[in-house]
Amino acid sequence: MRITYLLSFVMLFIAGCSEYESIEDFPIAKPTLVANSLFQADSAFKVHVSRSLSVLDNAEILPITDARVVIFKDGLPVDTINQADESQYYVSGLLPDKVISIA
Amino acid sequence: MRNLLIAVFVILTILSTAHAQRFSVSGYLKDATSGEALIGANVMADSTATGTTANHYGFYSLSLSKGYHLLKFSYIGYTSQRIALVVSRDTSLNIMLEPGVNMKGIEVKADAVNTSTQSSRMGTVELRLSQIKKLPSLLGEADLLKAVQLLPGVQSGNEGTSGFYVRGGGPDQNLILLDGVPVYNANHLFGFFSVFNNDAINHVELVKGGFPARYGGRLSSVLDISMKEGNMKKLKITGTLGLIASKLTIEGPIIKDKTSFIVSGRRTYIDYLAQPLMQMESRNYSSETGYYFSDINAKVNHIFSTKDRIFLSVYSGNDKFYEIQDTRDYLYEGEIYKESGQSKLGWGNLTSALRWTHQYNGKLFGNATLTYSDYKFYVKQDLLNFEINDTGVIQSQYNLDYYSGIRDYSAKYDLDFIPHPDHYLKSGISLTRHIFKPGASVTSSKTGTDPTTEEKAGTENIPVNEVTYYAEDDFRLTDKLKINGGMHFSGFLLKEKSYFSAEPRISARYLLTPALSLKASYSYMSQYVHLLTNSNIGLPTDLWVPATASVPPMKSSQVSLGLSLDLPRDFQFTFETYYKTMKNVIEYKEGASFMSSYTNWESKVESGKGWGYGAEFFLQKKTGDLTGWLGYTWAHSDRKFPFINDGKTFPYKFDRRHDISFVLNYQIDPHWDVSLTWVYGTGTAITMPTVEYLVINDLNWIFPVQSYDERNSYRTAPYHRLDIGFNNVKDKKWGQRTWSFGLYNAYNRKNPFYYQIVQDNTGKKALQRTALFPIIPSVSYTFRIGK
Repeated sequence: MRITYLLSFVMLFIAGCSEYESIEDFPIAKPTLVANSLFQADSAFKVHVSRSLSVLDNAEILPITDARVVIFKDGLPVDTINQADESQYYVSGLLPDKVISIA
Repeated sequence: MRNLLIAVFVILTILSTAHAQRFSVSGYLKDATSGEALIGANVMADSTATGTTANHYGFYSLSLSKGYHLLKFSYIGYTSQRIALVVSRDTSLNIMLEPGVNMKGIEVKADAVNTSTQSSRMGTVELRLSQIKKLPSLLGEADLLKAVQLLPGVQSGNEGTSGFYVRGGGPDQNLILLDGVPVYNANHLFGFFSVFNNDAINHVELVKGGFPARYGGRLSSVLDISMKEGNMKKLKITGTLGLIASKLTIEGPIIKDKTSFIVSGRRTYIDYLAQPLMQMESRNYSSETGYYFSDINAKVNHIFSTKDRIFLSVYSGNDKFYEIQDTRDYLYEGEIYKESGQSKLGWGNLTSALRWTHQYNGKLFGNATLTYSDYKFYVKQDLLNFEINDTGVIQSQYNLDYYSGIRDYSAKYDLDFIPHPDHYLKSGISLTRHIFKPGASVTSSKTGTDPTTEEKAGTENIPVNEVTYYAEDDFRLTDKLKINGGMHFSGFLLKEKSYFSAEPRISARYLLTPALSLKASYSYMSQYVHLLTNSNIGLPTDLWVPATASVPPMKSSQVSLGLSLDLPRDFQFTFETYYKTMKNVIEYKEGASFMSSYTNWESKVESGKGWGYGAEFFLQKKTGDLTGWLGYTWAHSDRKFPFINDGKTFPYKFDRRHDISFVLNYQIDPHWDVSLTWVYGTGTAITMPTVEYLVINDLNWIFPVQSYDERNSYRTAPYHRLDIGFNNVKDKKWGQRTWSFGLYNAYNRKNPFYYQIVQDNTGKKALQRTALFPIIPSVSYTFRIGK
């Protein structure tokens, strides 16, 4: 849309100049464990575990493959998986009893 | 309501009778060269050491005992007049003051009837247009709202924009009145310029606290702007040629000293300047794309008799983006298509006021006003398409109309009653019919011979009636103690629910010495309109919506304490502290977007509380070759909502701990003056992502997302900027010309506009601050035809 070009001209005066800020005061978050799983009624539990990083951390977020993943039912452990598979998921043989969709 | 009116008039009558042995001296204070009302000019009776000030129409009234009195009339920038008078009956006395010639060695100053120290009011600052015009400005467009931002207690919004935030309040909590009519969106070009054309303005007053009962409807401030009336003496033409806009003002008498007019217009030429760029981009086909904003202020007034006068004022301002595309041909999958269309996006205000003022007698002055205002935002798109194939030509068209806005019709009547030098009563009633149009769109399309399909979306118009009544008295209890007290009543009558409010207002000053006063005030305010905004900078997409049964009106209470001190050499110092609480302020819920906000907006917002507290120091000098001020503000502003930020209190977006503003104007000689402004503010509060982690979507894709920490928990870098301007004035045979030169952001500070996490040149993640305006020079030429 040419309005974009027009705005660009208007912003001629807005010759946006950037510079890098000191990150001394920027809150550095401590890494935490992140577990992701999608529950599907006809599929076994599949859990992905990784570690969060600070947004300023240059490291790549890598999955954790040697975590201990415990699945509970009614507060009681029903399965434990100690190793992720090749696709980096912890896969359990259990199926969910019921899946409730939350919009 | 009727009982209240009766009670007030009984009191007025008693007061009037009690002082029946006195006589009134009343009239109008005007500029001798133009006949313009001198709003706020001072009248002092030396014999009694009492005085008064002229109201918005230049009317003054003093009640004096029988006998000899020496009256002194004065106004900043004008030569004072002394008049000896033997009072034996009610006397009418109109005074014309000559503008003072501000040459070296001649001080033009006003006497202290209503200086900050003597006045019972708090948190009120009067801005002089002559000073605003001299201030250096962005692209040479001197801007009233940017001058307001330089006052203590007022925070500016984003870089370069004219939005302002008063004592911890939001952008919607400022009542901006142009000749008594509310202006709902005071911004042009996304806030880089305000809608006010300085050439058409006579008087500006900002009230931040200690609100008199006459004002209501917003929580945080009132910016009361009065337009010029037009020169009653002779024709005058002024114009300014600037870098991006020019303006022209014509004013003069229609019947000398009886009827005058003023018309002032302004238009940008960004669209013309951008034309070469547009042509380069659209070289393959003919099209026209542009943006401009324009304003027109017009006012006519007629004096019917010494007691009756009528005014009609109109303001109309528009911003418009447009794209008109002539027919172009293109080939798609072997078929030939022809396409043409046009798109428009715009917004604008129309305000108008018809006012009749009547002086009943030397003590009673009334004005009846009918006002109409309309703010609108619209998007319009029309597309026409022809498909040419073996079977013939198929025509299709598509139209989109989106519209939002607010329209007000209002009638009000105000009375000023001055029965005694110790009392100045004001009372008034108003009825407003608001029609909220929170957004509706109509799309229609038609292909070939098929019938037209039309789809409507959005919200129905919401009509609401608002009624207000106020009564206030500015009265002197003792020589040392003066109080401005009153009540403001309001009702907001929705179809499904009605809200009523009784708002006490009081402010007082106690003179410790003739030059030092102690002050205190309390104000309770209600606001029945909310602004749905994600930007907080006054974008046209912001929507005004009424309080509803589920989103109640906002309320605030503010207490202030302070002192005011008159210093030698016309310096004046004020210090004020304030504490303000607000309830039912609204915010979008976590994750809610302003997109499609016009549909079911009530479910997307959350009501909460707000606080603001701080201290303001203000040292100013209004007269002499060296004028200006130094302001410092220490402030806190917080918000709390049940389901935002986990219910925890967080700093308001424009919470800024320290703010300094330094404004200086120096008249070097009769031809040259120099101005500079320097502002410094500690960082504002923003929300930044702090953590990155992996998520999985329903396609089993794994990707990183950023997570945000507590709301507004990160502080931006400090903001500071120096602007410098020079004006060179030269008298010519035909009038006067002025060259103005300016430097915005003179030392090229890269002030924060937004932050983002990026990868730097070495590939490492870094926090990047982007600034908006570098150093920007400007030049403008102003002429005035007619002495």
